[in-house]
Amino acid sequence: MDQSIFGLFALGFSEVLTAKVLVSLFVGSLAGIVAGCIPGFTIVMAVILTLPFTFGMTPVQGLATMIGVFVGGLSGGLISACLIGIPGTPSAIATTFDGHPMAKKGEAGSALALGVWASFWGGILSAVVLMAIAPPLSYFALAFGPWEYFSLVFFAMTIIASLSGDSLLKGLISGLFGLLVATVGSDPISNVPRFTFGMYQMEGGLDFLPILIGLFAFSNLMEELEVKRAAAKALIDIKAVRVPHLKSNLEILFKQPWNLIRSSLVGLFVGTLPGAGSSISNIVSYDRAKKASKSPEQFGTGIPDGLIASEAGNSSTAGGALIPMIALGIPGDAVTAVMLGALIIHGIQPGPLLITNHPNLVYGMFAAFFFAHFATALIQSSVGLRFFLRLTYTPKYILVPVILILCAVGAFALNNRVFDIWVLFAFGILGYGMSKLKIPLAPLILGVILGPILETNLRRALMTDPDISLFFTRPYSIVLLILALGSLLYPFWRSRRAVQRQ
Amino acid sequence: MGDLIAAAILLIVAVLFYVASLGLPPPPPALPDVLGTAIFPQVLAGLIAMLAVGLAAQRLLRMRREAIERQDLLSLIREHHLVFKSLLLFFLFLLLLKPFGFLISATVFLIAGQWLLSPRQWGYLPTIIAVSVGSVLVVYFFFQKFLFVFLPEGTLF
Repeated sequence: MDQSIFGLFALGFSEVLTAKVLVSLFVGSLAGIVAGCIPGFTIVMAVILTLPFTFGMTPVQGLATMIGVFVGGLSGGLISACLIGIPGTPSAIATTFDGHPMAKKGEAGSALALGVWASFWGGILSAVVLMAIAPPLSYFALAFGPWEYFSLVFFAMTIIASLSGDSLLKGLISGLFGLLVATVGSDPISNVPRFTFGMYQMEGGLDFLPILIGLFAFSNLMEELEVKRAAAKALIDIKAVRVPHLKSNLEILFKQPWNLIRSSLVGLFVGTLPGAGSSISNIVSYDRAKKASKSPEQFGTGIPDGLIASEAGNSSTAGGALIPMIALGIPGDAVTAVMLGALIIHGIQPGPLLITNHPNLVYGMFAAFFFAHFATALIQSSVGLRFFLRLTYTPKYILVPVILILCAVGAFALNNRVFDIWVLFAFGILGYGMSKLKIPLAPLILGVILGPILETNLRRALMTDPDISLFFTRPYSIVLLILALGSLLYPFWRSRRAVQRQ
Repeated sequence: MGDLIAAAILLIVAVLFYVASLGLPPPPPALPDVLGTAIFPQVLAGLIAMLAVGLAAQRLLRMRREAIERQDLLSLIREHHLVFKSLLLFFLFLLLLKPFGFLISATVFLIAGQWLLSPRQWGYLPTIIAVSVGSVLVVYFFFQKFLFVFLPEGTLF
């Protein structure tokens, strides 16, 4: 096998350029756009529901399908955001700020096309950065011993606790609770069963996917039932939507290259931070674009600048979130956590060795990520945005129970046991309660996933050498611990600055 | 009030895990495992207990400083009645799964769930029944025939 960088890319592209994988990628992108444009149907839900369908596929085909859903979903949210003023997903919140006013001014077609292409270029830029950064980062992480790996996971846990909610205290509680849940089942070093409370099903531990489905899909659906919202109604006549010629859209887009690049880089950076996903990046990108603009007062009145910033920002988040997942085995958000689960189901161990041991899979994922943006832009331009808009009228009374059943089937299919649906139900109720109390969910699931890695590396480090000072004297370990301390102090600095500004 | 309840639940969970960890066996002498099986969860339980106390204290302090708007229980239930009913339906679906199997329990759940969330006019019923039966059959055959995932069969049917 040609191990040069070109050889590896050729390997990845050859994995994806087969009829089976391309069709799966295309169907995945289509499903993602559909999910993205239906308010209340999140991208995480869509990727979760895709998971059982990938069981019968090869790892590359399965991951390509999921990547298609991810990329399609990030772009699909703009359709309902522009035309009905309701973001299809939280990642399109800032898209409504200028996209919807543009539509109301009679520029609906232009808004949609600009959004699609801003999304496309933001995604492509993040694909390039992903391909450039993930492999060297993983080779760098190969030099990590248990001390560095413990410090890295500790850093990831602290950053997610401090970034994913309004309260550091609640973020920490959520993360620690996730770590505690992860201790249920066999001890990772001595295999002694812990906290099974007499239930034999818990001896192997709690599978993190039913927990994730419960926390992110089930609880989200329950929130949708709180108020009987009226069916979404179009505020403009969709028959009158005319998409202008591609050339004129690209001209508008490339007139502001710095906005496009800056927003993409912001999205990419936010994506790499565990727990901070596209729901944050679109708002940060929009805010940055507004601050950098010569006419910030025009933001919110229906100008392309804000729309481009939001869409480029949310689409490039995907590439950022895939970097720690591929290079380090640490998922950046719930979507990449599901992908991590898919890898484990196929018997592939995530971590820094992933690229070395499965180059075809990793470079195949890069290629799939790259092609998914073409597929998404192609579908949105050819199938017609009006078709997707009609889907936003799917009544909630049909959608919610059907998704609940699909969630139950997805959880059952993991291990062929009803126990996992009970786990989903329990964590669904827990997740709903937590969101009511404004306790962030992301640290909990990251705690469940990273808990065994954290404990194993801590114990391995102390088994190798009981000297605890090694955590503070090994250079990479101390840098990561200082960064962890910094991320814990960051919320205090942020609130102090807010007080000073007031 | 919610934060205080959450803190109390967290405290109970932390104590439960700590007590359960006391019965865990020590590491085998052949293994140079300094921490053993119990220390890691014990530290986590201790930290959770500490933070739960912190959460309760923070809430109590805020309650003293600010007059917090209280929502009465009845209006809370009224606002969330669809959530409670849907949770109950899902619970019943899980209970019915073993005796009646996936086909029957999922169909019943879908019809009841969609009826509950719909405007509850008879005109909606044909659509609800068609969507429910159709989706259950599609899911059942797709998983059984293509993915070879055998969904639960009932013990009674």
